[in-house]
Formats: sequence, C-alpha cells, structure tokens
Amino acid sequence: MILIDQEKCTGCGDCLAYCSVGAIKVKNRKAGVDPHRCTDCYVCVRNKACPQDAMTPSSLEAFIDEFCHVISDPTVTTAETGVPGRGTEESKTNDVTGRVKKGEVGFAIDMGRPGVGCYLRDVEKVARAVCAAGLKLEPGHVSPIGKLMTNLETGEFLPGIGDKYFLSIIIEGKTPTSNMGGVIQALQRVEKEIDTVFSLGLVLRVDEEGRSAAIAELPKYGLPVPTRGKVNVGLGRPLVTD
Amino acid sequence: MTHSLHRRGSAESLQNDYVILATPAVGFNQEGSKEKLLKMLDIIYELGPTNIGSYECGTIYSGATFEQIKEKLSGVPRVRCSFADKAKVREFVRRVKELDMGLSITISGLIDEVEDMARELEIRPHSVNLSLNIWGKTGDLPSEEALEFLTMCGHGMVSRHLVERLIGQVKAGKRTPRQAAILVAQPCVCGIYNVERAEKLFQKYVPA
Repeated sequence: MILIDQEKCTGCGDCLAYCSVGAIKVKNRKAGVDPHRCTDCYVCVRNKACPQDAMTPSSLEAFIDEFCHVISDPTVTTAETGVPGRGTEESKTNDVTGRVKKGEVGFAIDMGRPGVGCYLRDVEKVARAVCAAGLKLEPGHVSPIGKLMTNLETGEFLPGIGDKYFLSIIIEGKTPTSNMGGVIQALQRVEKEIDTVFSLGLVLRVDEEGRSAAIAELPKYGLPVPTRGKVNVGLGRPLVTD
Repeated sequence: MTHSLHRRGSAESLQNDYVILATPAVGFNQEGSKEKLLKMLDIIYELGPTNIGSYECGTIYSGATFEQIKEKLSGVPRVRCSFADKAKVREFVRRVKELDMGLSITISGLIDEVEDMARELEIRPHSVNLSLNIWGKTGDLPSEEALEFLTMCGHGMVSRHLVERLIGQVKAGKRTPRQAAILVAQPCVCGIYNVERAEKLFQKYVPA
C-alpha cells in the first residue's frame, strides 16, 4: 500500500482526487490510506499528488498484494502473460492468436469497472456463475485472473483471498455461439447478488461483410444492439481464418 | 480488448473519438515488431493525434516527449493513441495496410463508422468487441457526467474525485476547459485519453 509520511503531510487533501477507489481519507488534518482499500495502482505517486512528496509505496510481501499491484498498475508487465496494461491482450490480437473463432462468442467481464472497484469474493461469484453456464475460462498464462483460481472449470478461487479489493480485473472466456444466451442469462441472475458493477464486452468473429449473426440475438435477452465497439481490422499476420 | 471499449456519452460526443491500438501478439509475431511500431509512431505523429503515450514513460500530457515515447518503447512494444478526426484514422490505416506490417490493429469508435472506413479501404474486419453496458450495483457508479470523463481511461486511472474537482473549478471560472482537459488526462499512462473530447465536455460547465 501507499505510505504517507505524517511528518510531511499538511492535510491539504490534494491527494484525494487521485485515488480511484477512495482509499485516502483526511482525519485530524492528516491524510491516511486504508490498507484494505488501496490497490497499489500508484496513480497518486506517479502523478505527484502530494505537494509535500509525502507518499511512497511500501514493499509488497504477499502474493495477492503483488498480484493486485501488477494488475492495477498498467506500467507493469504481468510476468506470466508477458503483457503490460492489465496483463491480457484480450482479443486485440485475435486475428493472429485465434482466441475466439467462428462459431464462438468471447466474454470479457470487466469487474469493478468503471470507477467502483471490487472484492474478489464478488469476482468469484460471477466466475462461478458463468462457468456453471458453460463459459470456458482462459488459462492463467493467457489471462492473469486464471492465476487466482484453483479450478478453471468451476471458477473456484484460491482460499483466503475473497476480501482482497481490486481496482478492476477481467474474467475472460468463451462459449459456443449457441450458448451465448445461457451465459447472458447467468450474468442477469448474478448481477443482482454482487456488491459491485461490471462492464460487459462481447468478442465476435465477423464474416466478410463485418457482420455476426449473434448481434441480432441480443434483443432477445433485453440487450440493445451496441453502437460503439472495437474492430480488429484483420491486418495481423499470419491471419487466423477459422 | 476492453480497455478502450466502454466509453460513455452521447452518440454526438462519441462521434469524433477514436482509439488506435497496434499490438504484436506475444508468442506469435512479437519478435522484430519494435521497428515496425516505431514506423507506426512516426505515421501517427505526422498525422497529429489528440494523445499518444506509452506504458514506459507516460503521455505527451504527463510530461513525455514524442522522442522519449519512441526511445523507451520496450521489448513488449505497444502503440496506443487517440484521434479526434476520422480522416486521420483512415489515413493511418491506409498507410499501415500499404506497408503490410502484419501487426494487429484495432480501432475503437462508433462501429458503423469504423466499418465504413474498412469498406472504403477494402479491408475485411476480423473480429468485433462490443460494449454491452454496465451491470450489477449500478447505484454505486459515479454520476453519468463523471463517467463521460473517467471511462476515457480504460485502466481506471482517472478518479471520480478528480473529475468532480475539475468540473467544479471550471464552473467557478478557476480553470479553462483546456486546462481541465489536460489535468484530467494526465493519470492515463498509455495515451488513449482523448483530450479534445474532454475539452468539449468541460465546455458545458463554463459559466455563462
């Protein structure tokens, strides 16, 4: 977590504006960091949020604290996946990696986002729900969250980490297009049981016209057809064609 | 590819908001990609992005120069930038296609517009990533006004408190929309924060 030198701190509160998860509070004219809330994203340090230079990161001993820092600080590369940012290429390179192929739908469930954050207990709840509905999760060497799980088939997490708070973390997986509705319905049930939010992204292979039949299915589940998205324009090589 | 996906706002305010991501695939075509990405950076710089940066040294709004962004491009190189002009995005893709660099390019924006661009350039999109809104305990979300700003940083580096503080300062006439836009963009490290769009959004709060 971030340490604040109480001798240097003047209690001005400038640092509060740089914490995305509200971990910094000022009490009795001194700022302090909630160790259970800080996600070690280091935004405050990088942006020199303290005019007195009173903020420094502490050393991270526990695996889960180090993991949280790596996922939360996009300047750090995740060792297992070799990818900076949040440690996953998701489908930015789908034209080359073929993570999501024709006849499949990829789900990217961006837990805690935007601007809320999340406890891993809620992330596990969602992971278990979508696994039970047939989503096949990406392994840990592709998607960092896999490193927190003991069972990728069920979405079960390592014991004792449920109270760890994250800025955001992505549950990634795929399912046959025929089961897209099943996973969406599982999300519609579990969204009522969690104490946070998630942003949902779907990854679809498109045909030569840039279309996917799955898009037309969305209104069946009460979902509007999105107007905004990201298009992988297919310039990567070697190009995956299936 | 979610980190530039979930931007919020009216169709009008999202109209001139494009993010370009050039990404070598680790374990596939990453080796030797740095030179290609340096070339892409030159093209982007020439076209004039609204923001550009790198995970290694931050963005042009947080103190990095274009030369530093190039020099510090790592062994896991990525190019991220934003444009506020469709014609520039189109020209970037046209030139990258012509050079046939073989690296994955994704464009984030209004889908119809990106697809039109692909048709014009005779490119066949491979995949699409769709944003299907926010789910769960949405009562805890920042205000929709704040979300317009903070969702432009896909890594969650921009806090609601910073946005609210800057909106207050613009309302009070203590900062111009341009000054506020630069400050709100600084926590973004990769360069996808669209400063021009932020400036337009802050204009709404200028006292009459």
